[in-house]
Amino acid sequence: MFNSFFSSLIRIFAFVRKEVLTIVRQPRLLFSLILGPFLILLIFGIGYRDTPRTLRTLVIVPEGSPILGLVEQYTASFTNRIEFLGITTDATNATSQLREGNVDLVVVAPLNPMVEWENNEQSLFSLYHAEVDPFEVAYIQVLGDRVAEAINKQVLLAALEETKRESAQWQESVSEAKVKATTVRQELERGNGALGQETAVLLQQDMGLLSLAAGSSLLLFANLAATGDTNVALPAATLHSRLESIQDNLDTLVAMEADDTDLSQEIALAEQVERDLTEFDTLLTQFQEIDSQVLVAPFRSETLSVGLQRLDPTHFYIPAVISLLLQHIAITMACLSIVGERRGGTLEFLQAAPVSALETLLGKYISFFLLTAVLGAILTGLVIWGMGMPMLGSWGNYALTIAGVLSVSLGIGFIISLAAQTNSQAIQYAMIILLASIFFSGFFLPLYRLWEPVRVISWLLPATYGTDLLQNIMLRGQPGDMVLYVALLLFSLLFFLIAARQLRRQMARL
Amino acid sequence: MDNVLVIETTNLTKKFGEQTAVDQLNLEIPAGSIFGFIGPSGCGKTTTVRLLLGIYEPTSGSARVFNTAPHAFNRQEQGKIGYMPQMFVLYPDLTVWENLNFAASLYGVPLRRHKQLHELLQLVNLEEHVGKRANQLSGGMQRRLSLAAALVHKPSLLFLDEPTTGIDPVLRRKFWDHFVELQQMGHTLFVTTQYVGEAAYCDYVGVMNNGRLIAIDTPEALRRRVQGGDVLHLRTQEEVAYTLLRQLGEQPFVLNGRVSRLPESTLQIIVEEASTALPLLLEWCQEQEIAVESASEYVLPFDDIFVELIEKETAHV
Repeated sequence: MFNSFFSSLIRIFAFVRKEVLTIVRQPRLLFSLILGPFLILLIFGIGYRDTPRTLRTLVIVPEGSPILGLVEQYTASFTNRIEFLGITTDATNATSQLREGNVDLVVVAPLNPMVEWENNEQSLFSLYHAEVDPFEVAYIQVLGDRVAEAINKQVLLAALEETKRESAQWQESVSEAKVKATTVRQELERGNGALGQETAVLLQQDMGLLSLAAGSSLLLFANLAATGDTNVALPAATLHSRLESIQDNLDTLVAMEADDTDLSQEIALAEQVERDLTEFDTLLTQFQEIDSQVLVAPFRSETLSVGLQRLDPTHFYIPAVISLLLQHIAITMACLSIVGERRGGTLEFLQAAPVSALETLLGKYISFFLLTAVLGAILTGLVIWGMGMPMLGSWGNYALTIAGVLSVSLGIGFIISLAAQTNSQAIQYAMIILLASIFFSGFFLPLYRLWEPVRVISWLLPATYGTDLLQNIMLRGQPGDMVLYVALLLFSLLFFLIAARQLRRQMARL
Repeated sequence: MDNVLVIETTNLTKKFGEQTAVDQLNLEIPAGSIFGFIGPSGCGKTTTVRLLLGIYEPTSGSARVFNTAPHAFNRQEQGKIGYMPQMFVLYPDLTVWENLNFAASLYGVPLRRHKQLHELLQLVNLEEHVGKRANQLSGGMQRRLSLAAALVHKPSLLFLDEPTTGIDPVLRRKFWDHFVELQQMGHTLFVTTQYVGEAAYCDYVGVMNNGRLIAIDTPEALRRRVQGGDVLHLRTQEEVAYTLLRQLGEQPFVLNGRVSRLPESTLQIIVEEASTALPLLLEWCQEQEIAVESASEYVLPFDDIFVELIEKETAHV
C-alpha cells in the first residue's frame, strides 16, 4: 500500500519535473510569459490618459437670432473640454465639416428662446456628432447636458442680477407705498373714511405700477419651478404672491363703501396691506442680499472615496489584467500539454507504461500550477514595486484568489487539450476564451451592462472571479465575496474531474 | 516452441471501421526467445504490438501476454514489459539523463538508481552524451535512448517496434548484437522490422502481409519451406550432359529429382540435408568423372525468402 502510494508520488513528480524543465528550457517563452505581460501593463500605465477629450465645436446660430450675443459670450467661457471653433449661420457647411471630421461637434442654438420661455417652454440646444463609439456618444450626451446646465445657470445668473438691480428701485416704491399705507390706516382709525379711501386709491395705483415693473420678472423666475429649478423660483414666487396679496387687499379696500360709523373692516385690511408691504420689503432686502451664485445653484458636489488611498486610473485595470493574463497563460500552457503528448507520440508510451491518467494529470496540474504561480508572484511584484499598485487587503486572500483562478484555468486548458486535435486548434480555443474574457469578465465593461442571461458566460470565466476579488482585495482592502472563493474551488474540482475522465478515456484501450 | 509461452494469440483480429488491420493472428512465443515480426510497411505489425501491449482492444479473438489479456493488464504486468515505439517519443527538450530518469520514474524504479542508469547508458553507448538534449542527438542516438528507456525497468518482455528503421547498417548490426545479448540475459524480445535480413538473428520469425500472418517458424525452417529443402550449388569445368542430369535427379539424396541448370556450368540441387548430401554428391561426380570446380551449400537470402512467401500469399489470395 505504502509502496504503491510512494510509486505514485514518484510518477507524479516525474511529470512535475519534466514539465518544469521543459518550460524552463525555453528562455524566450519565459521572457514572453513574465516580461511580456508586465510590459503590456507598464505601457498601458504610461500611455493611459485620464483627461477627457476636448471636442472641436462649431455653433450654429440661426440668422436673426436674438441670442447671438449671448452665445458669443457663453462660448468664450467654455474652454474646458470644448474647443470652440466659431459661430456660423451656415448649417450645411457645418454639417459637412462634421462629416469630414474637421469638427467633432456642431451645436445648433434655438432661434428665439425668449418666445419659448414666455410660452413656458424650454429652449433646445441640439448637439450633432458623427461618433460611432457608444462611449463617445455617451460622453457627448453628458457633455451636452453639462453645457446646457452651465448655459442655464449663466442665463439665470444674468437675469437674476438684473432683477436684483431693478429690485433696488422697487424697494424705493415699496417705502413710499408703506408711508401711504400707514396714512390710509391712520385716516381710517381717525374715522376719516373718505380720506382713507382716497389715499388707498393712490396706493393702489402705485402698487399697480410696481406690479407692472416687477411682476413679469418675478413671474418669470416663479415659473422656473415648472422646469425643476426651485432655488430661484421659490423666493420669486413668494415675492410675487405677496405683491398679489397686497393688490387684492387694496382692491377690496378701495371697493368698500366708506361708512364712518364702522370702519373696522377697512382698518383691518389697511393693517394687512401695511404688514404685507413690510414683509415684501423685507423679502426684497433678503432677495438682494442672497448671493446670486447660491440662489442659482445652491448645491455643488464633490466626489470622495472611502478608500484609504488615492488610486490612479491604471490601478483600476491592474487586477483585471493580472487575472486575465494569468488565466490566459495557464489555459495556454495546459491546452498545449496533452495535445502535445498525443501529437508527439508520448501518449502511446504512457499508455504502455504503468502510469494512470490521474497521475499524469496530477503531475501536469502541479507543475503548471507551480510555474504559473511563480509567474503570478513575479508579475505581482512587478506591478506592486514597479508600478506603485496599492495592496490594501490581505496577501492571504490575494494568494487564494490567484490559486483559484489558476486552478480553474488549468482545468479549462486541460479540457481544451483533450478536445483539440492539433496545437493550432488548441490555441484557437484558448484565444476564443481570451476574447470572451475581454468582453465578459468585467475587464473593460462592468458586468451590470450585460443582459443577465449573458452574465452566465461571465461567471464561467475564472478571470471574472479574479477581477472582482482582486479589485476588492487590492483596491478596497476587502476580502471579497466568499461565494466567489467557493465557486472557484468548485469549478476547479469540476474541471479537474472532467479532464481526468477525458484523459482516462483517451489513455484507455481503443 | 515447447518452452513457457509468454505471448499467445488466438484468431486475434483488429478492425478500424471496415479496414482489417490484423486478421486472425495466431502466435505462440516462448519465453527467452527473439521473435522477429517481418512485413512491409502498413501490414499490421505496429497494430499487433499495440494489441499485445493493451493499447488497443481486439475486435475479436484473444491475446494473452503473461497469461493475461493485455487490455486487462495491471501495473505489475505492465511493469514487466518494455516498449520501444517505432518513432522517437521521448521529450526533445530534456537531456538524455532526464529522459531516462523520467522513464525510470514512470516504471517505478526506486530513486537510488543513479548507478543503474549509468550502466544502461553505457550499454547503449550514450554515457558520453548524458547532458545532451534529446533534440541534439542523431537519429541513431535517439533510437538508443529509446531502447534504454524501454530497458530501464529491466523488463522480462521487450517490444521493439522497428528499432532499426532509418539507421545505418553498422549500427543496425550493433543493435542486433545487443538484442542477442538481452536474449541471453533472459529477456524475451518481440521485434518488428522491415529489414528481412534481420530475420537471421531471430529464433522465430513471423511474416505478415496485409494484416495476415502468412508464415511463422524458425528462420531455417522458413528458408527450407521456400526452397523446398537445402540447396547445393555444383560448378563444373564443363557443362554436364542432359543424361547425367537425369541420373543425378534420380539419386536418393536429391529431393524429388529437383536439379536445375544455372549459368556458368552451375547446377542447383535441392537436397534434404546439405551436410549429408554434399559428400554423396561429390562421390557421385567422381563416379561419373565430372570435373568439379566447386560445390557448396547455397544459403538463400531472407529477402528472397520473404519475396517468395509474399508472392505465394498473393497468388493464393
